[in-house]
Amino acid sequence: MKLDPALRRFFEEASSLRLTNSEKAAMRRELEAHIALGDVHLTADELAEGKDALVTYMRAHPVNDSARFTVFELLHSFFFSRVPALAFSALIVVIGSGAVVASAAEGALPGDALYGVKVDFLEPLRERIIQNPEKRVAWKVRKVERRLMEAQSLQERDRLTESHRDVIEQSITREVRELQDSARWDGEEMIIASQQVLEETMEAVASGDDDKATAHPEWRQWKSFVRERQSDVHRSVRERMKTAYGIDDDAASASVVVPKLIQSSPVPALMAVPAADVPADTAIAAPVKMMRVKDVPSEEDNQRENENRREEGVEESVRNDRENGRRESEERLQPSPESEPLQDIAPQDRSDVRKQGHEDGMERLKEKREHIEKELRGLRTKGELQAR
Amino acid sequence: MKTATEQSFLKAYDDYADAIFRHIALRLGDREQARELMQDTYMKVWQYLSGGKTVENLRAFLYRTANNLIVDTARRRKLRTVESLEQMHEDHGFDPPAEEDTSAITHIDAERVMPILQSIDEPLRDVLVMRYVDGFPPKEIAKLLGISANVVSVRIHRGMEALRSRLPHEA
Repeated sequence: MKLDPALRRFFEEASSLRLTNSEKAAMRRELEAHIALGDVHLTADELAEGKDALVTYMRAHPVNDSARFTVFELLHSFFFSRVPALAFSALIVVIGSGAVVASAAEGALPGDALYGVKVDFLEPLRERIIQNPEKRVAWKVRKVERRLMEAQSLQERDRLTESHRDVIEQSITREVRELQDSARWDGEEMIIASQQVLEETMEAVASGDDDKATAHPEWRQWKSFVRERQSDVHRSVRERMKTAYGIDDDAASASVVVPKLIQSSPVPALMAVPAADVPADTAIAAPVKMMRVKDVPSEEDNQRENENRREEGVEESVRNDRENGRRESEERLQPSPESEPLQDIAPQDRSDVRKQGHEDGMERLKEKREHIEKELRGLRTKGELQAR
Repeated sequence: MKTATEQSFLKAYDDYADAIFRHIALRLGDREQARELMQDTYMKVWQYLSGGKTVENLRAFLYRTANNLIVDTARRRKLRTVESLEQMHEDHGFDPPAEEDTSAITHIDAERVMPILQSIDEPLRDVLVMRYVDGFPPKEIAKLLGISANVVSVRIHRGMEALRSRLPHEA
Protein backbone atom coordinates (compact mmCIF):
# COMPACT_ATOMS: atom_id res chain seq x y z
CA MET A 1 0.00 0.00 0.00
CA LYS A 2 1.86 3.04 -1.24
CA LEU A 3 0.55 6.34 0.00
CA ASP A 4 2.15 9.65 -0.61
CA PRO A 5 3.17 11.45 2.57
CA ALA A 6 0.33 13.96 2.58
CA LEU A 7 -2.26 11.24 2.36
CA ARG A 8 -0.51 9.14 4.93
CA ARG A 9 -0.45 12.03 7.36
CA PHE A 10 -4.10 12.64 6.66
CA PHE A 11 -5.11 9.13 7.58
CA GLU A 12 -2.83 9.12 10.60
CA GLU A 13 -4.62 12.19 11.82
CA ALA A 14 -7.95 10.57 11.13
CA SER A 15 -6.91 7.49 13.04
CA SER A 16 -6.02 9.55 16.06
CA LEU A 17 -9.66 10.39 16.62
CA ARG A 18 -10.84 8.70 19.78
CA LEU A 19 -13.05 9.02 22.80
CA THR A 20 -11.68 10.71 25.87
CA ASN A 21 -10.97 8.36 28.73
CA SER A 22 -13.81 9.73 30.80
CA GLU A 23 -16.28 9.39 27.91
CA LYS A 24 -15.24 5.85 27.36
CA ALA A 25 -15.46 4.96 31.03
CA ALA A 26 -18.87 6.63 31.42
CA MET A 27 -20.31 4.72 28.51
CA ARG A 28 -18.87 1.51 29.80
CA ARG A 29 -20.67 2.07 33.08
CA GLU A 30 -23.90 2.68 31.20
CA LEU A 31 -23.43 -0.50 29.27
CA GLU A 32 -22.78 -2.46 32.43
CA ALA A 33 -25.92 -1.02 33.95
CA HIS A 34 -27.81 -1.93 30.82
CA ILE A 35 -26.54 -5.48 31.03
CA ALA A 36 -27.49 -5.77 34.68
CA LEU A 37 -30.93 -4.18 34.41
CA GLY A 38 -32.02 -4.95 30.91
CA ASP A 39 -31.59 -8.64 31.33
CA VAL A 40 -35.17 -9.53 30.63
CA HIS A 41 -35.79 -13.18 30.04
CA LEU A 42 -38.98 -14.26 28.35
CA THR A 43 -40.35 -17.70 28.81
CA ALA A 44 -40.48 -19.90 25.77
CA ASP A 45 -44.25 -19.65 25.65
CA GLU A 46 -44.23 -15.90 25.60
CA LEU A 47 -41.68 -15.99 22.88
CA ALA A 48 -43.74 -18.42 20.93
CA GLU A 49 -46.82 -16.32 20.97
CA GLY A 50 -44.89 -13.18 20.34
CA LYS A 51 -47.07 -11.78 23.05
CA ASP A 52 -45.83 -8.78 24.94
CA ALA A 53 -42.64 -8.98 22.98
CA LEU A 54 -42.89 -5.42 21.82
CA VAL A 55 -43.87 -4.20 25.25
CA THR A 56 -40.86 -5.83 26.80
CA TYR A 57 -38.68 -4.44 24.13
CA MET A 58 -39.94 -0.96 24.71
CA ARG A 59 -39.60 -1.29 28.44
CA ALA A 60 -36.03 -2.31 28.05
CA HIS A 61 -35.36 0.70 25.83
CA PRO A 62 -37.41 3.55 27.11
CA VAL A 63 -35.73 6.65 25.72
CA ASN A 64 -33.19 5.77 23.13
CA ASP A 65 -35.51 4.60 20.50
CA SER A 66 -36.62 7.63 18.57
CA ALA A 67 -37.58 5.51 15.60
CA ARG A 68 -40.78 4.29 17.22
CA PHE A 69 -43.51 6.75 17.80
CA THR A 70 -47.20 6.16 17.73
CA VAL A 71 -49.62 7.93 15.49
CA PHE A 72 -51.23 9.27 18.61
CA GLU A 73 -48.01 10.83 19.82
CA LEU A 74 -47.50 12.33 16.45
CA LEU A 75 -50.93 13.89 16.32
CA HIS A 76 -50.74 14.94 19.91
CA SER A 77 -47.46 16.74 19.57
CA PHE A 78 -48.64 18.21 16.31
CA PHE A 79 -51.87 19.70 17.57
CA PHE A 80 -50.37 20.92 20.79
CA SER A 81 -47.34 22.52 19.29
CA ARG A 82 -47.37 26.11 18.21
CA VAL A 83 -48.57 25.69 14.69
CA PRO A 84 -49.90 28.87 13.15
CA ALA A 85 -53.34 28.49 11.61
CA LEU A 86 -52.25 29.56 8.16
CA ALA A 87 -49.47 27.06 8.12
CA PHE A 88 -51.92 24.44 9.24
CA SER A 89 -54.20 24.97 6.27
CA ALA A 90 -51.12 25.00 4.06
CA LEU A 91 -50.29 21.62 5.52
CA ILE A 92 -53.65 20.25 4.46
CA VAL A 93 -52.97 21.33 0.92
CA VAL A 94 -49.51 19.81 1.10
CA ILE A 95 -50.88 16.54 2.43
CA GLY A 96 -53.56 16.49 -0.25
CA SER A 97 -51.13 16.96 -3.09
CA GLY A 98 -48.79 14.63 -1.27
CA ALA A 99 -51.31 11.84 -1.63
CA VAL A 100 -51.29 12.29 -5.38
CA VAL A 101 -47.52 12.24 -5.50
CA ALA A 102 -47.45 9.29 -3.16
CA SER A 103 -49.69 7.15 -5.29
CA ALA A 104 -47.67 8.03 -8.34
CA ALA A 105 -44.44 7.27 -6.53
CA GLU A 106 -45.53 3.76 -5.54
CA GLY A 107 -44.74 2.47 -9.00
CA ALA A 108 -41.50 4.38 -9.46
CA LEU A 109 -38.30 2.64 -10.51
CA PRO A 110 -34.70 3.60 -9.77
CA GLY A 111 -33.83 6.50 -12.02
CA ASP A 112 -37.35 7.90 -11.90
CA ALA A 113 -37.81 11.25 -10.28
CA LEU A 114 -40.23 9.85 -7.74
CA TYR A 115 -38.14 6.87 -6.74
CA GLY A 116 -36.61 8.83 -3.89
CA VAL A 117 -40.06 9.64 -2.59
CA LYS A 118 -40.95 5.98 -2.67
CA VAL A 119 -37.85 4.65 -0.98
CA ASP A 120 -36.78 7.41 1.34
CA PHE A 121 -40.12 8.77 2.33
CA LEU A 122 -43.10 6.52 1.77
CA GLU A 123 -41.51 3.26 2.82
CA PRO A 124 -39.95 4.54 6.04
CA LEU A 125 -43.20 6.29 6.84
CA ARG A 126 -45.14 3.12 6.36
CA GLU A 127 -42.62 1.22 8.42
CA ARG A 128 -43.04 3.60 11.29
CA ILE A 129 -46.77 3.40 11.24
CA ILE A 130 -46.70 -0.38 11.53
CA GLN A 131 -46.77 -1.17 15.21
CA ASN A 132 -47.38 -4.88 15.21
CA PRO A 133 -43.99 -6.63 15.19
CA GLU A 134 -45.31 -9.43 13.02
CA LYS A 135 -46.56 -7.00 10.43
CA ARG A 136 -43.22 -5.27 10.59
CA VAL A 137 -41.40 -8.45 9.73
CA ALA A 138 -43.76 -9.10 6.85
CA TRP A 139 -43.20 -5.59 5.64
CA LYS A 140 -39.46 -6.17 5.61
CA VAL A 141 -39.95 -9.19 3.40
CA ARG A 142 -42.27 -7.19 1.23
CA LYS A 143 -39.68 -4.49 0.80
CA VAL A 144 -37.18 -6.98 -0.53
CA GLU A 145 -39.85 -8.28 -2.88
CA ARG A 146 -40.46 -4.79 -4.10
CA ARG A 147 -36.77 -4.35 -4.84
CA LEU A 148 -36.70 -7.64 -6.68
CA MET A 149 -39.63 -6.55 -8.79
CA GLU A 150 -38.00 -3.23 -9.52
CA ALA A 151 -34.90 -4.94 -10.80
CA GLN A 152 -37.00 -7.09 -13.02
CA SER A 153 -39.00 -4.22 -14.42
CA LEU A 154 -35.78 -2.36 -15.12
CA GLN A 155 -34.36 -5.35 -16.89
CA GLU A 156 -37.46 -5.67 -19.02
CA ARG A 157 -37.12 -2.06 -20.07
CA ASP A 158 -33.38 -2.43 -20.67
CA ARG A 159 -32.71 0.07 -17.97
CA LEU A 160 -30.82 -2.07 -15.50
CA THR A 161 -27.57 -0.13 -15.23
CA GLU A 162 -24.81 -0.66 -12.74
CA SER A 163 -25.80 2.30 -10.62
CA HIS A 164 -29.44 1.27 -10.45
CA ARG A 165 -28.44 -2.24 -9.61
CA ASP A 166 -26.18 -0.87 -6.90
CA VAL A 167 -29.02 1.07 -5.34
CA ILE A 168 -31.32 -1.92 -5.30
CA GLU A 169 -28.65 -4.29 -4.06
CA GLN A 170 -27.69 -2.10 -1.18
CA SER A 171 -31.27 -1.81 -0.12
CA ILE A 172 -31.79 -5.57 -0.24
CA THR A 173 -28.60 -6.21 1.65
CA ARG A 174 -29.74 -3.84 4.34
CA GLU A 175 -33.08 -5.51 4.80
CA VAL A 176 -31.57 -8.98 4.80
CA ARG A 177 -29.01 -7.95 7.40
CA GLU A 178 -31.64 -6.35 9.56
CA LEU A 179 -33.66 -9.52 9.51
CA GLN A 180 -30.58 -11.53 10.34
CA ASP A 181 -29.63 -9.26 13.18
CA SER A 182 -33.10 -8.95 14.66
CA ALA A 183 -32.98 -9.61 18.35
CA ARG A 184 -34.59 -12.76 19.59
CA TRP A 185 -37.47 -11.26 21.45
CA ASP A 186 -38.83 -9.77 18.26
CA GLY A 187 -40.43 -13.19 17.92
CA GLU A 188 -38.06 -15.92 16.91
CA GLU A 189 -40.51 -17.92 14.83
CA MET A 190 -41.61 -14.89 12.92
CA ILE A 191 -38.05 -14.07 12.01
CA ILE A 192 -37.30 -17.61 10.92
CA ALA A 193 -40.53 -17.98 9.02
CA SER A 194 -40.16 -14.69 7.24
CA GLN A 195 -36.62 -15.52 6.23
CA GLN A 196 -37.82 -18.80 4.85
CA VAL A 197 -40.44 -17.06 2.77
CA LEU A 198 -37.82 -14.64 1.61
CA GLU A 199 -35.42 -17.40 0.75
CA GLU A 200 -37.95 -18.99 -1.55
CA THR A 201 -38.75 -15.81 -3.34
CA MET A 202 -35.07 -15.16 -3.86
CA GLU A 203 -34.56 -18.67 -5.05
CA ALA A 204 -37.30 -18.14 -7.59
CA VAL A 205 -35.53 -15.08 -8.91
CA ALA A 206 -32.04 -16.52 -8.83
CA SER A 207 -32.90 -19.76 -10.56
CA GLY A 208 -35.33 -18.27 -13.03
CA ASP A 209 -35.02 -18.81 -16.73
CA ASP A 210 -33.48 -16.09 -18.75
CA ASP A 211 -33.66 -16.58 -22.45
CA LYS A 212 -32.89 -13.28 -24.09
CA ALA A 213 -31.44 -11.89 -20.94
CA THR A 214 -28.60 -14.37 -20.67
CA ALA A 215 -26.47 -12.11 -22.76
CA HIS A 216 -26.92 -9.17 -20.44
CA PRO A 217 -24.02 -8.97 -17.97
CA GLU A 218 -25.85 -6.71 -15.51
CA TRP A 219 -28.64 -9.20 -15.21
CA ARG A 220 -26.23 -12.05 -14.61
CA GLN A 221 -24.47 -10.11 -11.90
CA TRP A 222 -27.79 -9.25 -10.40
CA LYS A 223 -28.80 -12.87 -10.22
CA SER A 224 -25.58 -13.92 -8.63
CA PHE A 225 -26.11 -11.17 -6.09
CA VAL A 226 -29.57 -12.49 -5.32
CA ARG A 227 -28.11 -15.97 -5.01
CA GLU A 228 -25.53 -14.71 -2.54
CA ARG A 229 -28.10 -13.00 -0.38
CA GLN A 230 -30.27 -16.06 -0.57
CA SER A 231 -27.52 -18.19 0.87
CA ASP A 232 -27.05 -15.58 3.60
CA VAL A 233 -30.69 -15.94 4.47
CA HIS A 234 -30.44 -19.69 4.36
CA ARG A 235 -27.50 -19.64 6.74
CA SER A 236 -29.32 -17.35 9.08
CA VAL A 237 -32.35 -19.64 9.12
CA ARG A 238 -30.13 -22.57 9.96
CA GLU A 239 -28.35 -20.74 12.73
CA ARG A 240 -31.56 -19.58 14.27
CA MET A 241 -33.17 -22.98 14.12
CA LYS A 242 -30.14 -24.40 15.78
CA THR A 243 -30.28 -22.00 18.68
CA ALA A 244 -34.04 -22.07 19.00
CA TYR A 245 -34.75 -25.79 18.66
CA GLY A 246 -31.36 -27.42 18.66
CA ILE A 247 -31.90 -28.57 15.11
CA ASP A 248 -28.67 -28.66 13.21
CA ASP A 249 -29.96 -30.19 10.06
CA ASP A 250 -30.33 -28.70 6.67
CA ALA A 251 -33.10 -31.08 5.78
CA ALA A 252 -35.11 -30.02 8.78
CA SER A 253 -34.84 -26.34 8.07
CA ALA A 254 -36.08 -27.04 4.58
CA SER A 255 -38.54 -29.82 5.26
CA VAL A 256 -41.59 -28.04 6.54
CA VAL A 257 -41.25 -25.10 4.44
CA VAL A 258 -39.25 -25.31 1.29
CA PRO A 259 -40.46 -27.86 -1.19
CA LYS A 260 -37.53 -28.86 -3.33
CA LEU A 261 -39.23 -28.52 -6.67
CA ILE A 262 -40.01 -24.92 -6.26
CA GLN A 263 -36.45 -24.35 -5.33
CA SER A 264 -35.04 -25.91 -8.40
CA SER A 265 -37.59 -24.95 -11.00
CA PRO A 266 -37.81 -21.78 -12.90
CA VAL A 267 -40.85 -19.92 -11.77
CA PRO A 268 -42.61 -18.79 -14.88
CA ALA A 269 -44.86 -16.34 -13.14
CA LEU A 270 -42.03 -14.24 -11.92
CA MET A 271 -39.76 -14.40 -14.88
CA ALA A 272 -42.00 -14.32 -17.90
CA VAL A 273 -44.83 -11.94 -17.15
CA PRO A 274 -44.16 -8.54 -18.66
CA ALA A 275 -44.50 -5.91 -16.01
CA ALA A 276 -46.70 -3.75 -18.18
CA ASP A 277 -49.54 -6.24 -18.39
CA VAL A 278 -49.75 -7.40 -14.85
CA PRO A 279 -49.47 -5.33 -11.71
CA ALA A 280 -46.04 -5.94 -10.29
CA ASP A 281 -47.47 -7.23 -7.07
CA THR A 282 -49.34 -10.18 -8.43
CA ALA A 283 -46.39 -11.59 -10.29
CA ILE A 284 -44.33 -12.24 -7.25
CA ALA A 285 -47.23 -13.61 -5.32
CA ALA A 286 -47.31 -16.59 -7.61
CA PRO A 287 -44.53 -18.70 -6.13
CA VAL A 288 -45.94 -18.22 -2.70
CA LYS A 289 -49.35 -19.35 -3.84
CA MET A 290 -47.90 -22.44 -5.36
CA MET A 291 -46.19 -23.13 -2.11
CA ARG A 292 -49.33 -22.94 -0.16
CA VAL A 293 -51.04 -25.61 -2.14
CA LYS A 294 -48.90 -28.19 -0.48
CA ASP A 295 -49.56 -27.02 3.03
CA VAL A 296 -53.28 -27.16 2.95
CA PRO A 297 -54.43 -30.74 2.40
CA SER A 298 -52.00 -32.60 4.60
CA GLU A 299 -51.79 -30.38 7.58
CA GLU A 300 -54.77 -31.54 9.55
CA ASP A 301 -54.03 -35.15 8.92
CA ASN A 302 -50.55 -34.62 10.15
CA GLN A 303 -51.67 -33.12 13.35
CA ARG A 304 -53.94 -36.05 14.12
CA GLU A 305 -51.28 -38.51 13.15
CA ASN A 306 -48.70 -36.85 15.27
CA GLU A 307 -50.83 -37.02 18.30
CA ASN A 308 -51.46 -40.71 17.92
CA ARG A 309 -48.05 -41.96 17.11
CA ARG A 310 -45.49 -39.61 18.38
CA GLU A 311 -42.28 -41.18 17.31
CA GLU A 312 -42.93 -42.47 13.88
CA GLY A 313 -45.56 -39.95 13.12
CA VAL A 314 -43.00 -37.27 12.75
CA GLU A 315 -41.02 -38.96 10.08
CA GLU A 316 -44.08 -40.17 8.33
CA SER A 317 -45.78 -36.84 8.20
CA VAL A 318 -42.68 -35.02 7.14
CA ARG A 319 -42.34 -37.44 4.29
CA ASN A 320 -46.00 -37.24 3.40
CA ASP A 321 -45.76 -33.56 3.37
CA ARG A 322 -42.80 -33.59 1.15
CA GLU A 323 -44.27 -36.04 -1.27
CA ASN A 324 -47.53 -34.21 -1.45
CA GLY A 325 -45.62 -31.07 -2.19
CA ARG A 326 -43.70 -32.80 -4.88
CA ARG A 327 -46.72 -34.24 -6.60
CA GLU A 328 -48.64 -31.03 -6.45
CA SER A 329 -45.76 -29.03 -7.73
CA GLU A 330 -44.99 -31.39 -10.51
CA GLU A 331 -48.43 -30.93 -11.88
CA ARG A 332 -47.93 -27.22 -11.98
CA LEU A 333 -44.39 -26.79 -13.07
CA GLN A 334 -42.26 -28.50 -15.60
CA PRO A 335 -38.91 -28.68 -13.93
CA SER A 336 -36.40 -27.58 -16.48
CA PRO A 337 -33.84 -30.25 -17.31
CA GLU A 338 -30.81 -28.07 -16.80
CA SER A 339 -31.77 -26.77 -13.41
CA GLU A 340 -29.93 -28.58 -10.69
CA PRO A 341 -31.63 -29.48 -7.47
CA LEU A 342 -29.84 -27.91 -4.57
CA GLN A 343 -27.78 -30.68 -3.11
CA ASP A 344 -27.16 -29.15 0.24
CA ILE A 345 -30.83 -28.94 1.05
CA ALA A 346 -31.70 -32.45 0.00
CA PRO A 347 -33.03 -34.49 2.87
CA GLN A 348 -30.62 -37.26 3.70
CA ASP A 349 -30.17 -37.70 7.38
CA ARG A 350 -33.26 -37.43 9.49
CA SER A 351 -31.79 -38.65 12.74
CA ASP A 352 -31.94 -35.17 14.18
CA VAL A 353 -35.50 -34.70 13.13
CA ARG A 354 -36.76 -36.61 16.09
CA LYS A 355 -35.14 -34.28 18.53
CA GLN A 356 -37.15 -32.96 21.40
CA GLY A 357 -38.91 -29.74 20.69
CA HIS A 358 -38.53 -30.14 17.01
CA GLU A 359 -42.09 -31.11 16.37
CA ASP A 360 -43.55 -28.27 18.35
CA GLY A 361 -41.15 -25.86 16.80
CA MET A 362 -42.05 -27.01 13.33
CA GLU A 363 -45.74 -26.69 13.99
CA ARG A 364 -45.32 -23.23 15.31
CA LEU A 365 -43.06 -22.27 12.47
CA LYS A 366 -45.59 -23.48 9.98
CA GLU A 367 -48.25 -21.45 11.67
CA LYS A 368 -46.13 -18.35 11.72
CA ARG A 369 -45.25 -18.89 8.14
CA GLU A 370 -48.83 -18.93 7.08
CA HIS A 371 -49.28 -15.84 9.12
CA ILE A 372 -46.43 -14.10 7.31
CA GLU A 373 -47.81 -15.09 3.96
CA LYS A 374 -51.19 -13.75 4.92
CA GLU A 375 -49.65 -10.48 6.00
CA LEU A 376 -47.70 -10.35 2.79
CA ARG A 377 -50.79 -10.86 0.70
CA GLY A 378 -52.40 -8.02 2.58
CA LEU A 379 -49.42 -5.79 1.92
CA ARG A 380 -49.41 -6.70 -1.73
CA THR A 381 -53.05 -5.87 -2.30
CA LYS A 382 -52.63 -2.59 -0.50
CA GLY A 383 -49.72 -1.77 -2.76
CA GLU A 384 -51.76 -2.54 -5.82
CA LEU A 385 -54.60 -0.37 -4.71
CA GLN A 386 -52.25 2.47 -4.03
CA ALA A 387 -50.67 2.18 -7.40
CA ARG A 388 -53.97 2.84 -9.11
CA MET B 1 -20.76 -11.95 39.11
CA LYS B 2 -20.23 -11.89 35.41
CA THR B 3 -20.84 -14.58 32.89
CA ALA B 4 -18.33 -15.43 30.22
CA THR B 5 -20.49 -13.74 27.60
CA GLU B 6 -20.60 -10.55 29.61
CA GLN B 7 -16.88 -10.60 30.09
CA SER B 8 -16.10 -11.12 26.46
CA PHE B 9 -18.63 -8.48 25.53
CA LEU B 10 -17.11 -5.92 27.87
CA LYS B 11 -13.68 -6.82 26.62
CA ALA B 12 -14.94 -6.14 23.12
CA TYR B 13 -16.01 -2.75 24.38
CA ASP B 14 -12.57 -1.99 25.81
CA ASP B 15 -10.87 -3.20 22.68
CA TYR B 16 -13.04 -1.80 19.93
CA ALA B 17 -15.08 1.09 21.33
CA ASP B 18 -12.61 3.66 20.07
CA ALA B 19 -12.35 2.08 16.67
CA ILE B 20 -16.10 1.81 16.25
CA PHE B 21 -16.55 5.36 17.44
CA ARG B 22 -13.92 6.59 15.02
CA HIS B 23 -15.48 4.66 12.19
CA ILE B 24 -18.89 6.18 12.80
CA ALA B 25 -17.57 9.69 13.46
CA LEU B 26 -15.57 9.81 10.27
CA ARG B 27 -18.40 8.48 8.19
CA LEU B 28 -21.06 10.74 9.65
CA GLY B 29 -18.85 13.73 10.43
CA ASP B 30 -20.50 14.25 13.77
CA ARG B 31 -18.77 13.46 17.00
CA GLU B 32 -21.79 13.60 19.29
CA GLN B 33 -23.89 11.42 17.08
CA ALA B 34 -21.00 9.01 16.73
CA ARG B 35 -20.89 8.60 20.49
CA GLU B 36 -24.56 7.80 20.61
CA LEU B 37 -24.43 5.41 17.71
CA MET B 38 -21.40 3.68 19.15
CA GLN B 39 -23.36 3.05 22.30
CA ASP B 40 -26.40 1.92 20.33
CA THR B 41 -24.17 -0.46 18.44
CA TYR B 42 -23.00 -2.12 21.62
CA MET B 43 -26.50 -2.22 23.05
CA LYS B 44 -27.82 -3.91 19.96
CA VAL B 45 -25.02 -6.42 19.93
CA TRP B 46 -25.62 -7.11 23.58
CA GLN B 47 -29.30 -7.72 22.91
CA TYR B 48 -28.31 -10.22 20.32
CA LEU B 49 -25.83 -11.97 22.57
CA SER B 50 -28.12 -11.97 25.57
CA GLY B 51 -30.71 -13.74 23.44
CA GLY B 52 -28.41 -16.75 23.58
CA LYS B 53 -26.81 -16.23 20.21
CA THR B 54 -23.16 -16.66 19.56
CA VAL B 55 -21.18 -14.55 17.18
CA GLU B 56 -18.17 -15.93 15.46
CA ASN B 57 -16.31 -12.73 14.87
CA LEU B 58 -17.42 -10.11 17.32
CA ARG B 59 -15.41 -7.36 15.71
CA ALA B 60 -16.91 -7.89 12.29
CA PHE B 61 -20.33 -8.16 13.85
CA LEU B 62 -19.85 -4.85 15.63
CA TYR B 63 -18.88 -3.17 12.39
CA ARG B 64 -21.83 -4.67 10.62
CA THR B 65 -24.22 -3.48 13.27
CA ALA B 66 -22.63 -0.04 13.24
CA ASN B 67 -22.95 0.02 9.49
CA ASN B 68 -26.68 -0.70 9.70
CA LEU B 69 -27.14 2.09 12.20
CA ILE B 70 -25.15 4.50 10.08
CA VAL B 71 -27.24 3.67 7.04
CA ASP B 72 -30.41 4.22 9.05
CA THR B 73 -29.17 7.52 10.37
CA ALA B 74 -28.09 8.73 6.98
CA ARG B 75 -31.49 7.79 5.61
CA ARG B 76 -33.23 9.66 8.38
CA ARG B 77 -31.10 12.71 7.76
CA LYS B 78 -32.03 12.69 4.13
CA LEU B 79 -35.63 12.32 5.13
CA ARG B 80 -35.41 15.44 7.24
CA THR B 81 -34.30 17.59 4.39
CA VAL B 82 -37.69 16.87 2.89
CA GLU B 83 -39.98 18.64 5.34
CA SER B 84 -41.12 15.64 7.33
CA LEU B 85 -43.73 15.63 10.04
CA GLU B 86 -41.10 14.61 12.49
CA GLN B 87 -39.09 17.65 11.57
CA MET B 88 -42.04 19.94 12.07
CA HIS B 89 -42.64 18.35 15.40
CA GLU B 90 -39.09 19.06 16.40
CA ASP B 91 -39.10 22.60 15.17
CA HIS B 92 -42.32 23.41 17.00
CA GLY B 93 -44.10 24.82 14.04
CA PHE B 94 -42.95 26.25 10.80
CA ASP B 95 -40.42 28.72 12.05
CA PRO B 96 -37.57 28.94 9.64
CA PRO B 97 -34.70 26.85 10.88
CA ALA B 98 -31.87 28.52 12.72
CA GLU B 99 -28.37 28.57 11.27
CA GLU B 100 -27.19 25.05 10.77
CA ASP B 101 -25.64 23.72 13.91
CA THR B 102 -21.99 23.05 13.29
CA SER B 103 -20.90 23.12 16.90
CA ALA B 104 -20.56 19.39 17.00
CA ILE B 105 -17.99 19.44 14.26
CA THR B 106 -15.88 22.22 15.74
CA HIS B 107 -14.70 20.45 18.85
CA ILE B 108 -13.59 17.40 17.12
CA ASP B 109 -10.25 15.87 17.94
CA ALA B 110 -8.99 15.54 14.45
CA GLU B 111 -10.12 18.97 13.38
CA ARG B 112 -8.43 19.22 10.06
CA VAL B 113 -9.54 15.85 8.87
CA MET B 114 -13.29 16.00 9.35
CA PRO B 115 -14.26 18.80 6.96
CA ILE B 116 -12.07 17.44 4.21
CA LEU B 117 -13.46 13.98 4.61
CA GLN B 118 -17.01 15.27 4.71
CA SER B 119 -16.51 17.08 1.42
CA ILE B 120 -16.05 13.71 -0.27
CA ASP B 121 -19.13 11.90 -1.49
CA GLU B 122 -20.55 9.43 0.96
CA PRO B 123 -19.92 6.14 -0.86
CA LEU B 124 -16.32 7.10 -1.55
CA ARG B 125 -15.79 8.37 1.97
CA ASP B 126 -17.13 5.16 3.48
CA VAL B 127 -14.68 2.92 1.71
CA LEU B 128 -11.75 5.28 2.41
CA VAL B 129 -12.49 5.19 6.11
CA MET B 130 -12.84 1.43 6.10
CA ARG B 131 -9.73 0.89 4.03
CA TYR B 132 -7.24 3.33 5.51
CA VAL B 133 -8.53 4.04 9.00
CA ASP B 134 -10.15 0.77 10.02
CA GLY B 135 -7.68 -1.16 7.90
CA PHE B 136 -10.09 -3.57 6.26
CA PRO B 137 -9.03 -5.28 3.05
CA PRO B 138 -11.34 -4.52 0.09
CA LYS B 139 -12.87 -7.97 0.27
CA GLU B 140 -14.10 -7.42 3.81
CA ILE B 141 -15.39 -3.98 2.94
CA ALA B 142 -17.34 -5.56 0.12
CA LYS B 143 -18.87 -8.00 2.56
CA LEU B 144 -19.70 -5.31 5.09
CA LEU B 145 -21.37 -3.04 2.58
CA GLY B 146 -22.92 -5.80 0.54
CA ILE B 147 -21.35 -4.69 -2.71
CA SER B 148 -18.83 -6.39 -4.95
CA ALA B 149 -15.10 -6.18 -4.30
CA ASN B 150 -14.70 -4.62 -7.70
CA VAL B 151 -16.95 -1.75 -6.82
CA VAL B 152 -15.02 -1.29 -3.59
CA SER B 153 -11.71 -1.06 -5.43
CA VAL B 154 -13.12 1.42 -7.88
CA ARG B 155 -14.47 3.55 -5.07
CA ILE B 156 -11.20 3.44 -3.17
CA HIS B 157 -9.43 4.59 -6.28
CA ARG B 158 -11.86 7.41 -6.95
CA GLY B 159 -11.90 8.36 -3.30
CA MET B 160 -8.13 8.68 -3.23
CA GLU B 161 -8.21 10.89 -6.30
CA ALA B 162 -10.80 13.09 -4.69
CA LEU B 163 -8.90 13.23 -1.46
CA ARG B 164 -5.60 14.03 -3.14
CA SER B 165 -7.14 16.95 -4.96
CA ARG B 166 -8.46 18.35 -1.70
CA LEU B 167 -5.27 18.11 0.31
CA PRO B 168 -2.97 21.12 0.30
CA HIS B 169 0.16 20.29 -1.63
CA GLU B 170 3.12 20.00 0.64
CA ALA B 171 6.68 19.91 -0.41
